[in-house]
Amino acid sequence: MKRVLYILVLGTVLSSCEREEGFQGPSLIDQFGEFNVVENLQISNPDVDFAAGESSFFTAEFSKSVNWEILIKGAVSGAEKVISGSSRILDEDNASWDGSTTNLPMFKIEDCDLTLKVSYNVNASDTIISVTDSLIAENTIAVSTTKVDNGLLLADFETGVNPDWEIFAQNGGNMSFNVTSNNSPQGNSYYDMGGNVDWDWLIGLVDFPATAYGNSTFDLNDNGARVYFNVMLNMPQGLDNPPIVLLQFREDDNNNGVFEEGLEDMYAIEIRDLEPGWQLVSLKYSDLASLVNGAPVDADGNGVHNPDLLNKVSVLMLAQQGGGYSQTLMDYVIFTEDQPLKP
Amino acid sequence: MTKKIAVISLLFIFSASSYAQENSKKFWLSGLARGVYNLDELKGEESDTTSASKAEYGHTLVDLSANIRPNAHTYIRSTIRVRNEYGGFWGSGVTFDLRELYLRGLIANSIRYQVGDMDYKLSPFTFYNNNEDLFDNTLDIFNMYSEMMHYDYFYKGNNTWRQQGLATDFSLSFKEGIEELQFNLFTSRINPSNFNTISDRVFYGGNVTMVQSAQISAGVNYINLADIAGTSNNMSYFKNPVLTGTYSLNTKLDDFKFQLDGESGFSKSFTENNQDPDNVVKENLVEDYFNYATFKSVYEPFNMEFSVSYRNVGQGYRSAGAQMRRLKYKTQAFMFDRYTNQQVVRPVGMWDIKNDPTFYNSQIEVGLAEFYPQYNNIDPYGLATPNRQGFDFALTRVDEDDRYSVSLKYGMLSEIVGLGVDDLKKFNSIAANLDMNIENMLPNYDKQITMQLGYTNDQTKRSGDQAFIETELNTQRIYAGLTLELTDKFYYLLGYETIEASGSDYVAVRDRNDVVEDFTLFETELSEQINGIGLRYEFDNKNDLQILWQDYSWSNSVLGTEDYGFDRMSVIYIMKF
Repeated sequence: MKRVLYILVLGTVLSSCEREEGFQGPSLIDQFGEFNVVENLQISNPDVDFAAGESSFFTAEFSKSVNWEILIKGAVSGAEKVISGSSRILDEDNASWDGSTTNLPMFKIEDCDLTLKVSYNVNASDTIISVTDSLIAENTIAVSTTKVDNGLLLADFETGVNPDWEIFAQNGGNMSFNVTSNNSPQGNSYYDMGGNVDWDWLIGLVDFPATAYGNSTFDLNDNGARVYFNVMLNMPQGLDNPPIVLLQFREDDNNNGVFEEGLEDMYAIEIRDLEPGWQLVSLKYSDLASLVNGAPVDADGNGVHNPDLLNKVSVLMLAQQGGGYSQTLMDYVIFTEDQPLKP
Repeated sequence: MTKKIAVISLLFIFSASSYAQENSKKFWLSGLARGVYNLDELKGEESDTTSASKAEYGHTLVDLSANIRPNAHTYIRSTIRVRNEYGGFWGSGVTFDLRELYLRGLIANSIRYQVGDMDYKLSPFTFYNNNEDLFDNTLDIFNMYSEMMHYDYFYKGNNTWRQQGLATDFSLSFKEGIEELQFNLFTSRINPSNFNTISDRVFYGGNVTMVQSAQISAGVNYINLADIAGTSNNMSYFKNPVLTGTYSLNTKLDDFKFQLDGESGFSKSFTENNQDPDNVVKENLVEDYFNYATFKSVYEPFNMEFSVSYRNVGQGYRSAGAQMRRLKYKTQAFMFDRYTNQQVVRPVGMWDIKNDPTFYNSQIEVGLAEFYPQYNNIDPYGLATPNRQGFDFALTRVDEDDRYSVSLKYGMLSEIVGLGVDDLKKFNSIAANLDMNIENMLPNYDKQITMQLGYTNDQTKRSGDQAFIETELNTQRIYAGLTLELTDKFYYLLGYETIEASGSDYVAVRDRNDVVEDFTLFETELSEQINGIGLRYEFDNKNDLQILWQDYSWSNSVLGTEDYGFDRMSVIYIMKF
């Protein structure tokens, strides 16, 4: 009898085991169900002060899970932020905006147009109909202040050129090493580097010495894997001679206040094949290599990436010697920590 | 001197007799011989000038078994199959195979063992060879083909799987408390390593049954299908352990006998160090439990039995040995695989399942295989079909004078979790079967007249608040057969079977880890019929000759393919010796 009891106990224990709830496989309702907007699009903060740390999120509810996309477009800057996902509900977890941009330029203080589009399948009379980018809602959101990026800003060219920067331009044709205010990716100004130099690859350069910021080295984390260098570059359309941007990072390994050529580390990277239009280049400092004529070599100094001993950042604008006019636009040179810049 | 001669003579006779007796026990031959000839004719569209409409084929085979009993406790059996395809002369088309080889014996009069090929099963939730779709209540006239395929694939009548390995069983008896402890253990190899990417896969387990008395017994089953680490370069190892407990209680009360049987257990299925194609290790554990119980009561004066069963088999319950299907899911048949002038693939049907041996599995494989919803959408993996809960009822009566037997079954099941939606499918099934031995109803008539009638109806239905959620799939099977003994051992056979399946249902598409990743909408408007007429002459109970004719038709308007049909004339001779 006792054994029978054991069996019944075993059966009871097994019966009381809990299984996962829900259904198996992908949702049929999501695949074929009727689509309705259950709750219209709402904006949590329609006049958002990003500089004060505010953000805004969007809420909406549909009858089924869909692929949705929110497009926020600056009325003045033309900046675009795309927030997308696949869900039935939009909320703070999946549809919030911190003032960042998806496609440069960055947002300005401006009003923005906002659209919500969805894509889904629906079953109608035993036929599967695919609906793509169906406009669900339009609205506006105002940026009262732009977001503040944490990091060490070297240049945004909003106030012109810092006299402590060292700028060199060849005596070539149609040279344009100057600040320009026209369709800037950040703020209102950027730096234009262009010219036609027949006798040399170098068109010109801009050095950002640490002394221009108050010290012989930059105030950066000592861990190269945590430091990112970011710069926005633009190759104008229609150039016959595409530019090469050479970035150099000189370290004062012995911390004596000056970089000693051949004795201390200089890391570099060549940026080729730029696409037309503004683009963000972000580099992890520890990924940089020591180069000679574009080829990696052993570093001259201690061979350790020491961002905290960085003495100078140089931006060299190069182009094929004799290849004709070349040009690169530059803006928002900034070091960030732990992650690349999210403009 | 005379005395000496008499003693020597007696010793000689005794030893000769003993030798002969010993010799007859030590070695003998047995086996089966079979000759099959088929003439098939495809009946498609009349304008089809591309497809060959007739085919004749067949084979002759002999399974010759050498039975060796080297001593009283050891038995060895080796069977050689010689098969010659019809039309094969002078060696062409002839195959020689070692069909089976095993050794079994008894150690110390207490432990039985078998090495080599063996037929094994445990319980319907652990290790069990479920009957194939449409097999239950097969008519006498169509049974010949099933018997041949079952024989070829070692599907024995007790739902065992043919394995190759080692098995042993023994029991311990006790003077008080419990009567006996029975032990059954086995191990077999499912597939061998290729020393590269495929590891040795073994299947092992057993059970321990405690027989407390004739009224009470309980047991534990354990099986595991597992890859052996280190037998290949593959660092991922599949495992499917299953542990169950069984119990059986019975008692008698006046004219009633009551019996309660049950089994409960749980399973895990996973791959250690499971890697996706990008070599990323991914968890793929699937685990669940089941409960099953059946209560039977027999009213002895009427020889009537009523049973009710309950089962709850979780959606994640995986037991490869019990969920392996006999039938492969195939979309292309062996015979007349294409038809019409467009040479489209001929959709398979009931005829293929009943006649084509290439549709059958011989070994256990991992995963829930695809199945034919039009034939069995309720229990495609037997009692161990995952994601089922509900009751089955059965009422049977066998006439005490063997005039008839009747059975009525009703199943009332549902899913435990929905497929793609929260709404659950409900499964209702009705089955009625009547076997009549008419000669026993007629006075002074001794020739066999057997009639079989049956009807089954399976329904899968899901309701929902949106049209695409709703599904309904109905399958009806009607069959009727007659076996009429014309003269002594000479029979006239008649049979008719039809299947009508209509409706639609979403069928799960599973990934390599058996997780539902998508659905396909299965739709059908299927109509199939088989008519059969035959003659059988039984030379004796091991030797018969049958001449059978079948007429089969198939149509399924949903598929948009041409209707087709077959005629088949068969001559089958089977002799067991």
